[in-house]
Amino acid sequence: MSAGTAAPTKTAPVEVERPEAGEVVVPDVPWIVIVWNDPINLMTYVTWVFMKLFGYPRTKAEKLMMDVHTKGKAVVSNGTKDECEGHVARLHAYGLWATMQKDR
Amino acid sequence: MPKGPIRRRKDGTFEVSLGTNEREVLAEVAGQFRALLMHETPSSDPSLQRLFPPAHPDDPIAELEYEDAVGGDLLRDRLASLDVLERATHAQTLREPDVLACMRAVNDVRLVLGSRLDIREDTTPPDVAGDPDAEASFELYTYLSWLLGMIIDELGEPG
Repeated sequence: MSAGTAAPTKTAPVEVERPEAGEVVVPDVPWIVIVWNDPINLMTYVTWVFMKLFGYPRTKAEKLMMDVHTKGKAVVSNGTKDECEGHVARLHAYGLWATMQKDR
Repeated sequence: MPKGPIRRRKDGTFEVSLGTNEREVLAEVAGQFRALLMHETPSSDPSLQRLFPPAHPDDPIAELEYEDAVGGDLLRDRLASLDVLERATHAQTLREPDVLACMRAVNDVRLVLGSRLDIREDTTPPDVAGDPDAEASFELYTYLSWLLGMIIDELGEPG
């Protein structure tokens, strides 16, 4: 390697991406999935679905089911918007009344 | 102990012990329910709303996106489960995925019947006296509730 005399150098301009004016970057805040009480679905069925879809142990699934039954609703899962839409879709496929909303 | 309508065998399959009348009723119900799903919508028949509830009740735009993304799959899955239920009415043995499909189909029919009967609380029978159609619907609803309970018992802990 030669230790020659250093020549003056120029720094090439670098393009920097800037957000468009007015563009607001919104973080993907956690979402929650809520199951609502209904008088038609069997309590044993709701418990079974919670265990099947979320892998919850029976004790947790039964507590969530009882919350739905006695309090009218229960938060059964959370995650990104896409994850929660997947959860809601699977709950709907099993006939449960589920909605989702931002966790605020 | 009386023999249940669907019983898990040691090999993991399920024995179907439905009576002839039960098989005929379930086949007829499955056919009628398929016609309902194929020809009506939650807008034209409010009893179907319970099968397609909103995911975003307070956000119409997000709800439209959800319906576009999921609505077709939900309907196809429900029709596929009905197909399995219809086949099950001729079967002596079912695999577990078929039992799961039958369970969903039976519950779907219950949801629609329950909506039409305006079931308010699971412990309070609706007032159907004097209305033969409603009495028949409630009898079917009660039978399907019993059948669903038996299927859940037999499935045991979900895998």
